Amino acid sequence: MDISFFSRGIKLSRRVKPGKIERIPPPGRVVLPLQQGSGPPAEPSIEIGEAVKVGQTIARGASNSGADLHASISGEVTAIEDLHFPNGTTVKALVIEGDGKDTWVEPDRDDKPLIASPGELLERIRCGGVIREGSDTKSLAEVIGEAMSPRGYLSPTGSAVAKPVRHIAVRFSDQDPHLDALAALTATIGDETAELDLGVKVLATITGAEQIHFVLDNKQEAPGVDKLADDNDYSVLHVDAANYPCLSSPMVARAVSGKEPDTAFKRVHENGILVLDVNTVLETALAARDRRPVISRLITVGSLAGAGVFEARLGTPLADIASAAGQKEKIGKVVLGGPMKGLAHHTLDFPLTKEISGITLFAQDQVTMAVNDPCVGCGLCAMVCPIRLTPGMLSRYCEFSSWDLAQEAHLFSCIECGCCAYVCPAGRSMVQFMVQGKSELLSTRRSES
Amino acid sequence: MINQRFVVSISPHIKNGRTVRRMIVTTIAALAPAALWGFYQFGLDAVALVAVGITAACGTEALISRLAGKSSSLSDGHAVLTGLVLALLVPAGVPFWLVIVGAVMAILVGKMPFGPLGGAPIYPALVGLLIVATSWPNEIKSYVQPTTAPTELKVEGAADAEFPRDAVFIDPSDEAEYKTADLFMGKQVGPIGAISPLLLLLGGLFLILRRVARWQAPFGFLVGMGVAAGIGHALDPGGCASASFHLFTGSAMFGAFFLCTDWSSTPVTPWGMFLFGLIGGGLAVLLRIAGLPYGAVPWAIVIMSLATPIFDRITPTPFGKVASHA
Ligand code: SF4
Ligand code: SF4
Repeated sequence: MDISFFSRGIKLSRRVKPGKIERIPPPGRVVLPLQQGSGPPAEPSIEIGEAVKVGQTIARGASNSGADLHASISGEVTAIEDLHFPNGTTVKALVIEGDGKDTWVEPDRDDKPLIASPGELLERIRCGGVIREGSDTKSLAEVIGEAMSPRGYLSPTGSAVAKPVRHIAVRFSDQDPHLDALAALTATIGDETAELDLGVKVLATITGAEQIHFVLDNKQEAPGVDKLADDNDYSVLHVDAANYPCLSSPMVARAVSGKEPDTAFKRVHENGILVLDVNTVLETALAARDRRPVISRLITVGSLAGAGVFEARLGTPLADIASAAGQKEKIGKVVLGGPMKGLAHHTLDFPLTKEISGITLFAQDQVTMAVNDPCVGCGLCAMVCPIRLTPGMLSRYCEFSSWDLAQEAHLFSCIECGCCAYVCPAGRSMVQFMVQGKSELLSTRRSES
Repeated sequence: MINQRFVVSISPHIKNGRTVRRMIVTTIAALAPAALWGFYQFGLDAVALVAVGITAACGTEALISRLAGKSSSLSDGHAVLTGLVLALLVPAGVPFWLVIVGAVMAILVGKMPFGPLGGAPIYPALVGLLIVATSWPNEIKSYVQPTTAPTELKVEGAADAEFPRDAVFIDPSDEAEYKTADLFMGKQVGPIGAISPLLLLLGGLFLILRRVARWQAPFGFLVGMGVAAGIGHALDPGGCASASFHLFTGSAMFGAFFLCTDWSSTPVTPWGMFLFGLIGGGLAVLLRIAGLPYGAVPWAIVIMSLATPIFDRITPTPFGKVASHA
């Protein structure tokens, strides 16, 4: 029995009405890292000096399920350069100098994509460069391909290792309440649900999912989406997205199935539930029907004062986006993603990539520094942890290098949501401890095996 | 803007702004009504004792930090809280030196040896209180007649009263004469800050609403006391007072809301907190009946604190894990 009523997760403020989506014009020069999302980098398939059109494949996904990469402006590929990622790695990136004409490749539309075989659809998704936004940012073809191929869920001994996808849950709001790109997108969908419908059906055809769920914020009104769900017998679920992290994949999985998935080690799909952002579904539809690849990204540009939603071509320098968003104060911190889970980067001289769901800018006087005082044992963290861990204990184990104790206390179940650090009065960098503990344990395990 | 260097840190990038200092200030604020009621009931002596307790605790902490060559931790307010709690848990008639010794001991023995805040296995103020209560068992019982109280309350003979021993001084046969409502409204004799169950209850609820404390431990404690006293009273009405009497006298309410909710000396898991309180409450009644000279509630909580690491092992089953593996 759980007697922790009223206490899991944290309340964050949320804007009720998302703004309009603004388009940022194609920039004159784009930098496209070969790695977009997690997974190995793609292989360049063009030569330096070659002319490219918008949507033309410029790099092929690694292995047979990696997502392709496409030119996001028309022009000439001028260089391959090194780019430093916020996570510390260096990745090769293709540079395209634009010709300002924005010419697209010839469209290749297929009006009846649902007749195509699942394998063919999967290949279109891969070629379309779709990644699973908002969660593990893996290539979508890799994620759902695993559910499709018998190898995916049968180990050599024949026992099931992963369940095929039975439910697909589509998120219509961002996980981080400070981001509202998905809500804005949902508002613009209105009654034009043909693409959403198609995307869902394509995914259901490939994975064989039986039940589709639409997950919306309880303040969101989307009659078109409701009607689509009604017509097709999909279930619609409203959650209070301000109650972070109730839109994270494990929480959504629990909400739709009533069962809690195990959160230890990142899973491809939890308890047979594939949780996707609505924009991933729309990209899937475009890739399957129009063979139109992913060349732009919808992002929230936020500061603590307010936010706006923008659509920009991949490879657009973040500095351009920030100035288009009218950021005036002196910036002290740049976070790729939302304030709860985003990754801080030391510079705005970085291109927009597929996995960036937002940019959060902090003015210099808004930057909080970690204090990292010793844990006072107040237990606030244990009260908010959505995974019902005892983060204070875990952080102490990690602080004093008691990795084994941390593992016993279910360190690997931590979803790094940051709720514990948000409330900790001692200002401890809780997530830092968790991440460090996990990587220590994984590296010892690797060196032992 | 290009190449400008920004601050880099791990997520999350926002915090709710809560600090240790703010939480301690909230606790002190929650104690204030009960303290003021004590001042009203016991007069200037009580005010002076509290001032002396706080000063002694802060002075000791400052001195030790300095001797140990550490930066002073006074600013978090914990020394103030320790001195305050200690002074609120003694009767208004105790000599000043007793409170000074208690406060010095609380910091010297109860807090500082365990390093920074959060290390103390026992609530520091209780360490100080129990050291002086055990060393000077007669002085500690210097109860004073409150300003407003039913006339039949007898202060005389407090030292050899039968029960409940930690604060109240009345004869079991007199119990019927005491109106539960009077006790609840704070018209009784006892430690300075612990005589008003009503104000302590309100302060405790304030702490819980401000999320400084959790409800499980206080609830468990009150249930534990109530059930234990109820059983005892049913079995032997002459030897054990009724549940309401136990709950509204002595430092029961104070203990439930302000001692059971300490940080480092109490568990942090939901069931751990509840059981900690439940068993602690039962133990407190047992100690009262068994005739502990002073401070059954503080003693019960200190004993439970020693078992806190065990209660902390009662962790909830993590998300998505099967209960049997937890
Ligand atoms: S970051 Fe991990 S430990 Fe902290 S609240 Fe989230 S899941 Fe719990
Ligand atoms: S919130 Fe911070 S200080 Fe409180 S128990 Fe957790 S880690 Fe320790």
